[in-house]
Formats: sequence, C-alpha cells, structure tokens
Amino acid sequence: MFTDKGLNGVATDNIAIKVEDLSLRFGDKFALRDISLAIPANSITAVIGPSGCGKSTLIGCFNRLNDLNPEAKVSGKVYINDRNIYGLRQNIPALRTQVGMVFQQPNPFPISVYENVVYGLRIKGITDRRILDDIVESSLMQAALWDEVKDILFQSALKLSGGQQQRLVIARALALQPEILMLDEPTSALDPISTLMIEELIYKLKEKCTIIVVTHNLQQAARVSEQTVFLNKGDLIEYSLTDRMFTMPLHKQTEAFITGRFG
Amino acid sequence: MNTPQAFLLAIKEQWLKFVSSLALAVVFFALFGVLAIVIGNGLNFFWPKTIQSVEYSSAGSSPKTLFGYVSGERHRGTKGERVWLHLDSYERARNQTQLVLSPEQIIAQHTLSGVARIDLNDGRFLLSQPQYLRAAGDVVELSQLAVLQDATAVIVKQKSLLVEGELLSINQDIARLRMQGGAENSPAMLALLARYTSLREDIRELDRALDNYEIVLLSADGQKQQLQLQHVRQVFYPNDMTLWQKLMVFKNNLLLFLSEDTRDANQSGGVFPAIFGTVLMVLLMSVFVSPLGIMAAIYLTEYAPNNTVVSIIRLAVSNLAAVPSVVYGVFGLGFFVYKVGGNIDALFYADSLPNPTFGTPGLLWASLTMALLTLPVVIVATEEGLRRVPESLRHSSYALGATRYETIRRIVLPVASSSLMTGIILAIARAAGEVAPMLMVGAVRYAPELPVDAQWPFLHLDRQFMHLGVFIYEGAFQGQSTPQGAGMMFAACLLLLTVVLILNFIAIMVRSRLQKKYGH
Repeated sequence: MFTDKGLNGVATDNIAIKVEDLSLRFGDKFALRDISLAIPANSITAVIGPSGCGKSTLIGCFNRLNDLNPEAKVSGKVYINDRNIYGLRQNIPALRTQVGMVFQQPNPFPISVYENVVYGLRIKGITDRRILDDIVESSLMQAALWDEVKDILFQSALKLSGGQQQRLVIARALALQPEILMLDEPTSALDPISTLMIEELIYKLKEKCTIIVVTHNLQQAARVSEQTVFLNKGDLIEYSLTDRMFTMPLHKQTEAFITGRFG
Repeated sequence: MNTPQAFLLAIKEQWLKFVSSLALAVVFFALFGVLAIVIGNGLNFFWPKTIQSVEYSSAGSSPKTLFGYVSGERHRGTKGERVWLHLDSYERARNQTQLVLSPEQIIAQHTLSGVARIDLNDGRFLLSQPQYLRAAGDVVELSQLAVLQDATAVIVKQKSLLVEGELLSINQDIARLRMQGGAENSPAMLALLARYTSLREDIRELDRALDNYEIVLLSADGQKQQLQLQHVRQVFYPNDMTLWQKLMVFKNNLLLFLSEDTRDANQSGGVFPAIFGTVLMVLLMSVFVSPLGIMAAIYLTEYAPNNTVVSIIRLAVSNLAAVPSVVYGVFGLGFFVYKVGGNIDALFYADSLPNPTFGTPGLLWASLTMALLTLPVVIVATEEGLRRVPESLRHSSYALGATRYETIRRIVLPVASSSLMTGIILAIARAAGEVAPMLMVGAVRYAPELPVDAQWPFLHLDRQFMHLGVFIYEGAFQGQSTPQGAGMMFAACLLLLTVVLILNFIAIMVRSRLQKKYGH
C-alpha cells in the first residue's frame, strides 16, 4: 500500500501506527490528502513541514482529537493495535488513554501538581490512594520532575516554571501508561535548557512507548528522531530515516525546506 | 507641516480634554452628592441632636416657649420659615405636633441643660425636663430611674403573661363552650366565668401598680405633668452629653434600628423584618436562579450548535435583561400568583377556599419572579466565564480520555467558578433593590409575622413579607407629612446601600480567591 515516497529504510516489522489513504477536510478545504505511512513501535518519529502544512492535524487524527472540530471530515484508515480507530463503535476516551498527547503551550490544569498527574486515572475510576501515589511518583520520575516537585505536590501546578510545567504535562500523559506519546511542538515555548531536558526525556521514553514529535526546529528533528515525515500543504512529500532525509533528500521540496529556502 | 493646521489640531486636542474632564467632574459630583445625602441624612437619624428651647410670639398673644428640633424648612416668598417639632407633652408626641415659625416670630433661642428626650415604647418621643420620679406616692431621685424601670418591666411582663397566656386560653374555652351550646349557667361555664373575672381583677391590680410608677416632667412653659414609667423606653439628655456619650446613644439607636420590629406605621422602631425579608427573598431567589441560569449557560456554550435558532435564543436572553422590571412584576402576578397559585389552591387547599393560600402574593412568588428577572444576568455572566476557559485546557482534558461531561465538571466549571459567582452576586445586588415587581408579588409595608417561625413547616412560602426597597418607597410618601418617617427612609436607604455594598464586597473577595486558586 505504501507509495514510492515511503519506506526509505524505515523498519516495517514492528508497526505501532499504520495509516492508509488518510484524508481530512475542514469544510471543502483539504488539510490532509491521501496520507499513507507506518510508524515503527518504540522509536521516535519527527513530523516537519512549513506552518499550516497539517502537522498537528495529522497527529490529531491518531487520537481523534480532530473530532472536536465539527467541520473536520475524515476518510481513510488509521490502525492502532490492528484496529481501525475510525471504524465503527470505537471507544474514543479509551483510545485517548492509549495515545497520549502533549501540546505546544504548557497547559497544566489549575489544580495541584498531584491532581494534575492523577487526572486521567481519576477519570478511569481509580481511587485507591496507594496506586495513585505510586503512579504519581513513577510518572514524575520518568518525566525527570520528581526531585523538583516532590515537596510541593499539593501546591498549584501554575506555580511551576514553563519547563517544569511542560514536564508535568508529559508526566500527566505518562501516568496513563500510553503506548504512543505525541508531542506537538513541545519545546517551542521553552528556553534552551528546558528544551534540552525535554529532548533527553523524549530519548529515554522511547523504551516505554512510541513517540511522535511535531517540530518546527529542524535541528531538533535531526537530533532526536529516527525517522522523519515531511508534509507540505497536506501532502506527504517524503518519509524516510532521519539521517537519510537530512543528508540526501529524495525530493526537491524536501531539500528546499531543510536547506531553509522556504518554510 | 502647515502651521495653521497644526494650531487648529492643538486647539481641538485641548477642547476635547477640557470637555471630557468637565463631564467627569459632573459625574463625580452627581455620585458624590447621592452618597453624601444618603449617608448624611441616614446617620443623622441616629445621632442624638441638641434640643433647642425657643421663645416665640404667636400672633396677638404673650410670648411662649417650646422645646424642639428644627425638622425642615419651608420657603414662602423670601422668608425662610422653619418647621419646628414641638413635642413637649405626651399628647403632642402622640399627634406629632409641628409648628411653623418665621424668623420674626422667634424672640430668643438657646440650649438649656436638663432638657431630656424621652423615647416612648410606642416609638414616639417627647422633649421635656424631668423633675423627679414617683413610686407609690413617694418621691424618688431621678438617678433611680433604671431601678424603677426594672420594677415596671417586671410588672409589665407579669401582665402580658396573664393577658396572652391564661386570659387568652380562658376566652377560647368560653367561646368553645358557647359554640358547643353550653348553657350560660352550667357549672363549667360558671367556673370559667369566675376565673375570668378574677383574672381581670388581677390584671386591673397590676395596672394600678403600674400607675404608681411615674416620672414628673416640667414642660417648656412651666407646666408639670406626669408620665407613666411603663410607656418610657429611655431617657437621655442630649444637651448635657459628652461626645462619647452621644456616640454610645448613636450606637444603641443603630443597633435597635437593625434588630427591632417596626412600630407606629413604619415611622419608628427598627427595620429588622424588612432586612430579614429582603435577605430571605434574595437567598431563595439565588436557590432558584443559580442552577437554572448556570445549566442554561452550559448548554449554550458547550452543547448548542452554531445555528440561527441558537443565535436568536442568545439574543433573546440578553434582551430579556433590558425588559423593565415592572413587566416581570405583572407577569409574576398574572402567571405565578393567579395561574399557578390558583391551581395549587384548587388542587391541594380546596378546603380553605375561597381564602387563598398560594393564590395570593407571597414569598415564593416574589422569589420566583425575581429569579426570572435576574436569569439573563446569570446566564450572560456564566456564558462569558465559560467562554473564557482556554480551549487548550479542554483539549488536554479530552486528550487524557475525559468525556465532555467530565471535562465540564472537572475543568470548565472550576476554572469558570469565579465568573459563576460574579453572575450570582450581580443577580443578588439587582434583586435586593427592586421595588416595583415586589409590590405586586408579595412584599407589603407591614407584615405581622416573619416568613420563618417555630411552627411547622418553619419556612412559610405563602406569607407576605417586608422588603427594604418597599419600605423606602413607603417612607418616601409618608416622609412628606412626618419628619420622623423621612429620617427612617434615609436610614433605610443607607442600610440598603450598605447591604448591596457588602454583597459586592463579598463577591470581589470570593472572585479574587477563586481567581487565585484557578489562575487563568
């Protein structure tokens, strides 16, 4: 099913997300057109492209967050765990606990650090204090935040710095032990040190889950990802191993973008 | 740049600055004037004023003297005539005598020491010089006033216990016996009648005892008169008081005003029933309006599709806020009182018809009408608050597997809570001051009973109640004839203003606390 744009050295055995002919329209306007790709499990995939090319929309299809926009019309198939999430009778809240998402602006809920982390668990109906305590500790450890917040767990999360807030949001997603974690420009609102921390964190997390990072920052894509998706105006232009894309891009558009001639 | 043009522009600039600052000055003076008049007159009502003794000549007769206050001015022609309250005997106090004197009539005017203001238990007062007290024919020093007042209070209490207790029950027994056709000379009836007569005798005895306690007063024109101590509530000498003593009297008057029942057709005494009625009505209204308004706003922002029908509904809601309140009053009367209340009576209280139970203006209908009136305020404020909750918070909640209900309950409502609070407080502030609809659906100038008492079901939603706004409205009419009523009105105005200010203050505190808690 893959077009000639795909499969440039990307592993095909252990697939986490398989996308077939995915199109998405807002009204009459196509935001994504006939996208097909397969994302390997336990790897880091970067999604790059100029502004408005559909990067965020693409990952919004993987947890069906695009459904919140009543104008969005989706066609095609997205398989996660061999199930088409756009098929009939899908449990969307359950899907979203499997596919975690972190947004561009750090947006913790205006409640305590602890309550932020257990938010998804409470929704799931877990009330046992010991289980919650354990998960809070392990999630904050994984997000490299535990040492900084262990004494202020019950203070408002809004008191944390931007970088801490972003790691808290990651911990909040990790608390649900997702199979896939998607980060939508997670460092664009952060300073260089926080950015570095988040990148290191992403790198460590790939053992636990499949990671998709939308980024504006080409160096970041080159630094952290194993394969890269390049989108332009809703079309998938090139999907290949990151090293290969940045050294010998197959398409003129890709070359123009990564050399900074547009975008 | 062209010089004349620049000059013109500079003039325009200055002109706008001048005119706008003038407008602000006018606004400031208008607001300040309102506040000054209400606060000045309202507080003046409680302040013990100096009693003047005035020597005056009335047409053709020898000069006379009176003790009095200036209660107002009348301007006829160029002469500034002054209205004097002239209350130096019990009879004059009862009739609230006033005297109009022009400046030429006044021969001399001074402040005498030893002149007292004597507040009576019926709410009126008189001005005179107390001389001494009399107890059972003996002359007693004025300093013993408190002791004798306690003694009379004990007797008055005994008397009221007899009158309202035993005498009442015997009267009822006699009436019941007669209803059952008991003969007038049956033994039971005779026993009751004998008991009745002896009770009357006891009461007469107590009355005679009360007659023994008197205060002897000397009026301005030198006449002695007696006043029974049972009528006297307090005696004080404003002319001889230090500032501190005046402050204490001021404080006492203020406390009595806030805690006591009204007396004497709302012209004196306290306004406690009106405060109680206002607060209870407003609380009930909040209970009705908050869930309804908040739910409606939630539907409008979170669920309603973006189409013409919803836009029309939204427009209608915000326009409802502009409907004159008297229209709501008429609606409340026509719909709640006559239709709903009438049907409730026909269904549940048929045995007491034609006397209406709920088919008449009352507390329930008043609070429902006010809830309707303030509904748009609550909906608009809540909607605005819900809309201000950042979309990103909702998205993160959805992304964590929350449904729409969970997102609204756990994220949207807490974050918007300060706005919800604001809406409710705005509604309360609006409802506390409305008069026109209140007059139609349940507030009265005098209600004999509070809507809450010890009798089942404790909260009597069918009862009429007193309301501060209505009280002020009534006071404004009576104030034209009696100065005392006008003073009450200003004091009640000040109280209403204070209540609304306190509510707003609480709102600001609650809102800033919630804002601190939920950021954004």
